[in-house]
Amino acid sequence: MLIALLLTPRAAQTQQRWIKAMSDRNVPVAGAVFTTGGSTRPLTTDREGHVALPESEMTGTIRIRALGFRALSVSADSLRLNVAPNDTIRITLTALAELLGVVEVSTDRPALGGARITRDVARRLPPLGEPDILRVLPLIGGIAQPNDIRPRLYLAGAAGDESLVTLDGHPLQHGLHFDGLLGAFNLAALDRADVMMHQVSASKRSRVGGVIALETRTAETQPHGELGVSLAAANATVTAPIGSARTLVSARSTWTSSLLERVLSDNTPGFRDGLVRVGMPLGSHAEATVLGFGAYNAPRTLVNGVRSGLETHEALAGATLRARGLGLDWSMRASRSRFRTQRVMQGEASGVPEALQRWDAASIDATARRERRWLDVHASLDTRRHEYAWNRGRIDNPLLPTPFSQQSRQQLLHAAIAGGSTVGRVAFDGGARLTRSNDGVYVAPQLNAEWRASPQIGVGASLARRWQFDSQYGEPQVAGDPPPVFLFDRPRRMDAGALTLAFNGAAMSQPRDARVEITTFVRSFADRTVPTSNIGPSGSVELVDGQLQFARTSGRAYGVSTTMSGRSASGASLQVAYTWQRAWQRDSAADVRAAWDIPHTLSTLASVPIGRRFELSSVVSWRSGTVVTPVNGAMLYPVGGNQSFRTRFGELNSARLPDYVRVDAMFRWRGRIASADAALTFQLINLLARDNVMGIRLDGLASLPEGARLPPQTGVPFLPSLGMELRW
Amino acid sequence: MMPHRITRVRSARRIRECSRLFIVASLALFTTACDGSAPLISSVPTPALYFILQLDASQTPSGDAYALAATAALPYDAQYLSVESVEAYRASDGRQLAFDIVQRNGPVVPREFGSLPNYSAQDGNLRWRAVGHSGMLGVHDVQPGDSLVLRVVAEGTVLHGAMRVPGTPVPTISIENGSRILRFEGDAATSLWTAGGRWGIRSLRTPRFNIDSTLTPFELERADSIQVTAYDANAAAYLVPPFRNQAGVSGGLGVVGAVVSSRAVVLPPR
Repeated sequence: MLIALLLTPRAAQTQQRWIKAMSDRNVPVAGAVFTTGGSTRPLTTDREGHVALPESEMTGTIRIRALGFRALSVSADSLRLNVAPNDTIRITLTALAELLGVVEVSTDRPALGGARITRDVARRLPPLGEPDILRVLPLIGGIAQPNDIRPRLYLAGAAGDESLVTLDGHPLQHGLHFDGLLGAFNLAALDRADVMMHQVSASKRSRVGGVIALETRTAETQPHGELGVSLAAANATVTAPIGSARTLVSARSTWTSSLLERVLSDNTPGFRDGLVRVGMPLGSHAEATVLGFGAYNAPRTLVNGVRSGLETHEALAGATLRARGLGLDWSMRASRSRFRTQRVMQGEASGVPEALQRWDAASIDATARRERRWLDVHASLDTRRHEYAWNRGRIDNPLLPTPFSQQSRQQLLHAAIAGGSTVGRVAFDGGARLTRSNDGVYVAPQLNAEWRASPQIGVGASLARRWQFDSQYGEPQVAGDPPPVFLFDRPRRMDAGALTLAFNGAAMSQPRDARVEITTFVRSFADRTVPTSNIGPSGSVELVDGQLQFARTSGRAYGVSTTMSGRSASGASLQVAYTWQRAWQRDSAADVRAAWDIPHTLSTLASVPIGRRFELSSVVSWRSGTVVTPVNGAMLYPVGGNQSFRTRFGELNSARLPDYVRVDAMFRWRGRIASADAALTFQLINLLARDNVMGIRLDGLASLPEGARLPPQTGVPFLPSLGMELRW
Repeated sequence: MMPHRITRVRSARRIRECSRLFIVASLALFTTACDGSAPLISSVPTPALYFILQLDASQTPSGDAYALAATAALPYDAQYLSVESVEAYRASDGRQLAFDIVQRNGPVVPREFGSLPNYSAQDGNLRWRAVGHSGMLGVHDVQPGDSLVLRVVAEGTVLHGAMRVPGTPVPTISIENGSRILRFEGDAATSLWTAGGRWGIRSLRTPRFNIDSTLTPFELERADSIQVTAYDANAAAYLVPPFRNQAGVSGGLGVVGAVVSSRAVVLPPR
């Protein structure tokens, strides 16, 4: 363990001591948690590794923790007495990369009931071809996923289209590769993913379910690179200073499809993504950052090397300006994202894009922090424009018409104020977000409180109202095209409450970093949008005034999520997360299960070091089967010459597919090749070779010959895989 | 060192307590939160009466019309109901309809390996004669706006149906601002119209249809004529999603309704 106390001139503020956390590779450590003897709440370093500690709280022992680094304890008195008040205290943390940490890390932001996943943790989990931060999310309590492949995440009983994904604070529209099997982000380019379900600051852009905030990796002052190769793709990431600018360049692409073609026949992935970020200091109190991100998915069907199907692109350009001035922290963001789908026939794009979604966003935030009080003032603008045009049957979504053309625009103005303070052992914050659409002004208030009963035990509570101004037309189907997203002036509403009990045993010697968190939540949804079809006798979908139709209904969700984690002295670690949650929606006069109602989700993550260089890790996931509407007969269709039957469905969503069970394992070696850190992994995906049923097409049952049954769609098969990483 | 040791012991005790609480809470949830689930596929035989009167102005004279009293189940499990009596009349004057019973039993759809379940209209077990007799009304005697009532007793079940026949649409086509506009008169008995032809079918909620701005170029190439069909409320509810399994019938599932088609109208050039 290396501890260095270096003295750096810095303007001091009254009664505050500045501390900067750096890694042993001279990189600022963001998100390092400081706990002091005189404090009732932990403090966290910012992107530059800085944290301001009130002089009054510098008593006893200061404990510094950061994921991937050895925890550190120093005497507050020695710091106060040996470092001049105007100097920044610089603390160097030693990387602890040999061991698998627990997936979920508690921090003060995201607050209780949220979660944080870092790059280093995600890369140590058994990946499906590629290590992927989004695929790790279902291991967090409160998050459910219907199956291996369907690109949906259900945050605390919310629907799949009720969560927002952001990249460095800029909103994204799709961000998935290959039917959602992979996230469209090279893991090496990311620092972490913050999941905010129950407490989302009023100053943050969100959908009603919550936010998955992806943060790119911290810029480094020394050049570093990373190469990765898996069976699916190859990736490269470089961070380097160029003059005073800090750059991050990352790219990934499927590197060979010949092997995958043999395994997957004609449904072969082809994708690539890239990310560029340049940060430039502007004087001593400001920094500008520009970000570019692009993801491309090739059409899936590959015959004789020529692709057909739907290709998708997402591109994001964003700029951020952060500054300190007038006693405030300023943050200004602007971004433009574009998501496009294009039909491709035998390698050639046909006609106009089937979907073109543009999202321009701009925001400004001013934050004042004084001792234990803070205040955020926020204003933002969202301008979105969607154009859809196709002329083909959508067998993946029978609710969509064969010919369809629709354009829509939306402009939303937001203003928000949020503030917080700490009184004794209670920290509380609250705020309100006002959104103006063409339909009116909508107010979303919120109130959060946390009582730190002891250094180990905290109780948090939150109440919030949120609004959402868009909706996806139906659930995405396996191997289906993304359903269109529609923009609303009259939003969907959610009122939510959550109560969290957290035990943080970071100070305990055994088990290390022990943590137990139990969150109970209740959510009420009004004006939840449900797609309705108007299908004519010919079976084709009819539009009303050229528009697809939505019904608005109510819904509710409630549940309990629990997470326990800890490590042994030998380095073995275990995390167990169990969530019980129910989601209901109104159907006519009764409540029925929502399509995303998954009562039980249990995941365990275990890791055992073997010697100094090897590590064995495994993930076991079990969850309830997906809800489906059963078939209980057929009805005669007594018109036309060839009279036949149509399927007679039972009660909506009253049946379930079989439970989902998957066991993955990974054996990992870490060492050095030449002067680079290297890791080789051998993964066994779906070790039990279990056929997890993702769906059974029941709607055509009445038209099948006797004895015929449509085969169920199953998830990922047993799949051994290899991967290699090089870092220097 | 002593206070630290005491803190550690207390912490260890707390985590043990929390672990126990977690385990107890989880077990409680496992035992109480399991919800019942219906089987994915089942065959639930339910008495049903199916009768949609189809009147087509392009095909005269109409033949006999058939109704079916059977169980609604999976297609090969559907069985004819043994009909004991049928009573049908026009509501306005009480005149009887010329229905008779065609005795059938067993499965509605014969089991043939590899074949799709297919039912033809003549397989019904209730026949309404095209031409009336003995003072009873035949299919030819039905007028737009007539309300018809059907009462079937089968295997102890009384299936009761009622419907109102829509008026025959009379479409006209005019050219307005370079577009061909289809118009027709509506009537109170009609819930839904469709316009169709060799090019496809569209549902209409209003008696006006801009052909050139609605059809796709591919459809317009094939559009040489157009025919309008009127659906009464029962037929519309049964045939158009969200499908209702019971429309105009009480005592069981099924439908008693009517669809009336216009003559095909040749489309003029634009």
